[in-house]
Amino acid sequence: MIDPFADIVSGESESSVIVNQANGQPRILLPITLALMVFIGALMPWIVIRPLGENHDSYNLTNVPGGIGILVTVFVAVVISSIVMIWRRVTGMIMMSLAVAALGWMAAISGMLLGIVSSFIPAIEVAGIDLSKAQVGQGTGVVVSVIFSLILAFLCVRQLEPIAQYSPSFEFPVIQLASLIPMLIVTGTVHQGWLVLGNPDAQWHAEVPGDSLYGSGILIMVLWLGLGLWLTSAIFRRPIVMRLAGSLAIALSFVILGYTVLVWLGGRALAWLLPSSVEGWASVNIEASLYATALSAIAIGVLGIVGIVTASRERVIKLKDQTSFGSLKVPTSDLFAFVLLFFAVLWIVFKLVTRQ
Amino acid sequence: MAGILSYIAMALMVGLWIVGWLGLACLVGAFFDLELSTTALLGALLGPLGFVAVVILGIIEKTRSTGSVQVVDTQSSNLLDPFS
Repeated sequence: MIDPFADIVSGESESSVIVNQANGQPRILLPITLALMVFIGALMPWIVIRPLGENHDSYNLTNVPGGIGILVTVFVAVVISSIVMIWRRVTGMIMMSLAVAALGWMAAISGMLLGIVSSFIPAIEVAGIDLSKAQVGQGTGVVVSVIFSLILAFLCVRQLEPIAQYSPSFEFPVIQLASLIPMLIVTGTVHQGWLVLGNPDAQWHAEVPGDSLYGSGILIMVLWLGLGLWLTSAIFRRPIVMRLAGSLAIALSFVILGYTVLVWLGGRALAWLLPSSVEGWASVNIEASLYATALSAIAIGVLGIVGIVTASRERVIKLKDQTSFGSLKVPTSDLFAFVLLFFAVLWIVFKLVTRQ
Repeated sequence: MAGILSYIAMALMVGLWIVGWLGLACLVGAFFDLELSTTALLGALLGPLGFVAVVILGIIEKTRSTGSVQVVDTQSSNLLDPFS
């Protein structure tokens, strides 16, 4: 029988039942690898300018005066954070995350600012190129920098109270993870050429990327918000957050699919209407990235619906804290870091071989 | 000179962005009675996403604590002397 005069205790709250935090501090290798990935993102193209009839040019932080200084400053901050991490793991992680978040936000802000400014003032000149005669968009470096700095930030904030109560270690919700994949694909393909007008063999041709379409700037910002909401729902693990993320995903899916269908229909109609006499220099080519975007948009919508329907009965992938390879036992966190390092080394080798 | 000015401009821009979102997150966190350090770090590290995360966290925490508050009210009303 319950004593009504007993001290008010919330009892075993729902969250405290769910909490199954692994004891001990987070490991050191994964945060450092994530910081390294942000640096690699900073060396990839941040801004791509596609002049009409010419090959596109790309720019990153190293092309801006003072940019290398910023990179060196952030690198020094990361080294200091790594040293702090030896004694105070979470403090060091937060310091490191703040340092690389600066790079990630710099990438995001530069892309957003350029997109907004060029949409208001089309005649502005960037790097000596008149933007009224070119398309300007974000490069892959922005996606890489922002994603890895966000992952590191989420690793930090899940150590804090009361967020730690909602976020069990070594459990990955299936729907959230599955939804992130098509969203990440769209964040990349929206900056690729969807349509090529004119003849690429001739001097005059224009590449039309998804981010050059009217209203696409706002769409990309909402896309990032949607991505963040799925990440948030993976951390907070509450049906309300999942329903919110699912609803936004469905709305995003409709808008992105609408854009791709309109561009596809327009391209097809134009190609069909053009007389055969001008086809040699005025062809319309639909690129593979348009189809990839459309398919990803469908996947985002379907997973959004599945997320809302299954919000209260969540499926999770449970990982062990260690993975065995014969007699060798590797902590799962380090395993993720090694996989990332493998891709980082691949990228460095590719860059050295192609000398870009 | 251009490099130094550009360096300062970029550092200021990102600094303002981080501090701005930190402040906004703290404001909203205070409205929901969330811990200051948590809301500050959410805003500083995650920017606009942190702001949304603070709102969501606040709603979840508020919803969770509302149930306990109702129990407290019922019990405390029994203990209080209305004529004191």
